[in-house]
Amino acid sequence: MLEFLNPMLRPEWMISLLFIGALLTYFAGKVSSALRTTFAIIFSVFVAFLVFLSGSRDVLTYWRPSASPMGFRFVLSINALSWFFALMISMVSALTIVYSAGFGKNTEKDNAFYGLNLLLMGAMLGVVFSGDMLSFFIFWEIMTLASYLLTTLAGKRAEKGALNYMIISTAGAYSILIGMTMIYTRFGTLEFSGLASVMGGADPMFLLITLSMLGIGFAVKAALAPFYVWAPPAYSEAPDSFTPVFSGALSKLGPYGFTLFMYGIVGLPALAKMGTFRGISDFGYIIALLGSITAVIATLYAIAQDDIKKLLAYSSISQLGYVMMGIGIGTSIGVAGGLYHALNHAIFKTTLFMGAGVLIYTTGSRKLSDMGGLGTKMPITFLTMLIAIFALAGIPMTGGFGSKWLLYEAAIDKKFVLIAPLAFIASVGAFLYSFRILQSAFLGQLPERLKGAKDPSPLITIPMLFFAGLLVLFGIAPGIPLGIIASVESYLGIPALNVSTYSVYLGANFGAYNAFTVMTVITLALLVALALFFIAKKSRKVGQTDTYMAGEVPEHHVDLYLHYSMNFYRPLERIFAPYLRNRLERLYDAFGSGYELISEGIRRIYTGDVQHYVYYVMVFLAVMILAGWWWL
Amino acid sequence: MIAEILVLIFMPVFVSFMGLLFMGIQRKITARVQNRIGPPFYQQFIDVMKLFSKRENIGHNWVFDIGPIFAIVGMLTTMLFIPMGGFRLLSMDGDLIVVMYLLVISGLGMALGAGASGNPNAGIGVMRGLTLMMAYEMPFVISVLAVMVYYHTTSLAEIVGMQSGMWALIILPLSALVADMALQAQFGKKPFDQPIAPAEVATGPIVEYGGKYLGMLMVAHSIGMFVEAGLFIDIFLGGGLLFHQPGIIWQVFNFLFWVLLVFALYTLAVLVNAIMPRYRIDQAFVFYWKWPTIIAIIGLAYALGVSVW
Repeated sequence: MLEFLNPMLRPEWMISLLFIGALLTYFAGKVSSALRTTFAIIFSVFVAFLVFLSGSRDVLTYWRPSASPMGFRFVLSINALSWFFALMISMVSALTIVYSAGFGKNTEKDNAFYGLNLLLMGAMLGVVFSGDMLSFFIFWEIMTLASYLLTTLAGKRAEKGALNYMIISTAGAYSILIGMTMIYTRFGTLEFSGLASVMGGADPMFLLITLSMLGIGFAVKAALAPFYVWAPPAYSEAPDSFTPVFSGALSKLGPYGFTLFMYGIVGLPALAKMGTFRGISDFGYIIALLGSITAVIATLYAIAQDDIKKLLAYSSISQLGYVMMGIGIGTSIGVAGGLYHALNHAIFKTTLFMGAGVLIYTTGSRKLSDMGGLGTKMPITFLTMLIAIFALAGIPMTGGFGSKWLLYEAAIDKKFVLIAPLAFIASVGAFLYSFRILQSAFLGQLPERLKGAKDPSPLITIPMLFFAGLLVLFGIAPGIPLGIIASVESYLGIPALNVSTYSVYLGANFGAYNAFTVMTVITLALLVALALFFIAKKSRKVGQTDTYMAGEVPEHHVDLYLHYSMNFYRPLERIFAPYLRNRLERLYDAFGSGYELISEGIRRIYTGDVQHYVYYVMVFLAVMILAGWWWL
Repeated sequence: MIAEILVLIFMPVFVSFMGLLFMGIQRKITARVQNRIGPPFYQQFIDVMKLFSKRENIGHNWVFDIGPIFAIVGMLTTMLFIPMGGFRLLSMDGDLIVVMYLLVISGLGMALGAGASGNPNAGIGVMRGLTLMMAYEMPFVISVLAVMVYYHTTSLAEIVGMQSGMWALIILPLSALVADMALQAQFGKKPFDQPIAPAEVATGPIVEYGGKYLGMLMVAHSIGMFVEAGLFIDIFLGGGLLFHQPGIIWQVFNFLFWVLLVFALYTLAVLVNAIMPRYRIDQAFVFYWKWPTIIAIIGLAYALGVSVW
């Protein structure tokens, strides 16, 4: 039925469509804003659809010879790994564009907003479809630049965060460039397929250095400790309709880079040559450990936040720590857990940031303590965010449980007694901060000024409902996403996970998880509980101030003193406060001022006196001549 | 097949009945420790009957109704995935980690409902409950991890089966000790009853619940007692299996012994409860993250050492 689209199921089509769409959208905005928004939606959703369709076929590689002066070929390819990430990215980006159309006005410069969004989507797809290092790096830089510009669109207050993001990203990009240059000078090829056959034979030291250089760049995007300092300000200050993409899609490129280079190119046997710890490569173990530490630290910060976007930003860092943990462990279960968690995180965090945008739009404040009691006023927003929070906390019935379960199994299987408890505690912490969102925004007392709040337009709620539906679907049938992930694993040369539609069996030595049984039992138990509930007499509903107050009669400003949400976890904050005073930020600040000091010293060389410069030239020549005599 | 389904139906009814009975006996014991006479042992049954037949129930909104419903759903579901006194129930379809997450549904649903009531006491109670959970999960997880590492499996049925020779309590005494300390908070007994602290936050999350809501919560609580104790017994006390011969009589004996173990564990918690004052919530947090955690880490190191070398 859709055969006529077949010629368009090529990566170059998808990327160029988006780049052309970006330009068209920007200039259409000069004519009419409705036309612009329509263009943006059509292009992004159409390309997302193309990405979706292209996966139904076999692994395909496309070569585009080009007449570049140094004889490089630009390679774009769709394979199991890139399709998995492309699907995630295009789904999040396209639906976020639909979502932002529902707001009417997102930033001061909406033409640029939509144009850059399409450009960013194209660049992200470009990164995952790249088949060689040069195009990978070019698309990577377009992506960073586009996301930086999008962040600055939020206005003055975003500038500092955006600049931080840009500086750390640039440092990461240089690191990637150094790694890639080292690989190119050693092997003389840029193409991944060529590298995959030769990298395995490289000596362990060379692999360690190049992987570390590349890893620093990817760790910056994945906001892994100690590189996460840019993420909280950048995520929280970016425009509300862009943060879902920023956290949901863009951050996944870090784990993608790790997976591609560690397993796609270097491969498990070569990694093992660097030394192993209980059958896991040391490099992977360190990544996993860093991931689990990140998860805990970011969770503790998230618990103490009152700003909803900052809370979600820290939560993103923590969840990406889980992803890196799984990918680092590198067993069949670990990688499956990491990739599945990446997918789940893309879905639930996008939903949560979308919901946060709706809440900020409705209440006019980002502070959780300014909200309250919205659950009954905005049922759709409440329910979608509730499902997303269930997934975030890893409650069975939602997709989030499956991935966390796999991650724990992977850690326990290898008896990693450092990683497993850290992951568990971070997960318990996730209950705490996710409940803070529910309690402060949706439960408790409804303030007088929010009496008229209601659910937003369908353009906003439909993407959120779609994502929430996906989470429930994955909760009942984890085999759907895990089937795709199993094919990614066999593409990467890792033993594929054994899954059927409803259940996961890891082997004789493990427990099992049958989502269908869990779901059935929950449904039956729900029927029993509902029967108990409805057999007894129906209840009479009373107002929100008609509660037990030990005899006190609330009169005015009810929401001020009856809504418990300010400093929600005060006792806990008091315990952790001495340990969490932005130590890492201060370290970077010290580094910055030290760098300034050195630069100041270097600046003194430039005196402005021509005689001094002539003198420098003479000294330099003398040194060169001496050096030449010595060596020649 | 039919026998299994009958067990699945019988177990929740039996467990809620026994739970209410134990709570009644517990009130009597506490009273005797404190030199009072106390209510009759069947008082809890009278209370539940009364609550379910109230002429009027007070609710707030539909989210408020979710609380008790989820509390029962979560506890019932969890119960069916834990091997109980020789019955495996559905434990082959979900392992220890699944159980630990299913156990959360009840509390989280309850927290939702409590928050929706709009009473600040409920909010404070939930905050305390979640903080306490983070506090005791640290040592609990580490000690359970010791068992999972030692037996190298996450399946509860497997863990029970591997203890047929010797209980994990004897092999890993430190971990068992810590897990029992965490059990005190899971039961919500003093010194760790901050979430419901009647004198401070007017029973916290439960403050707005009365009538049939409170009745449902009592039922959920009595199932919860068996779930939490049952989990401990499965992990450390060999699932309460005394006799390993096949035969219906031995099975009955095993089951009775298991019920006795639940009662013993609960009574231990109640006796501690009867003589203890209450910690402040931050003191409770620091307590759990200090000594029990250190002991748990030693226990884990021992388990790892024994199992790896």
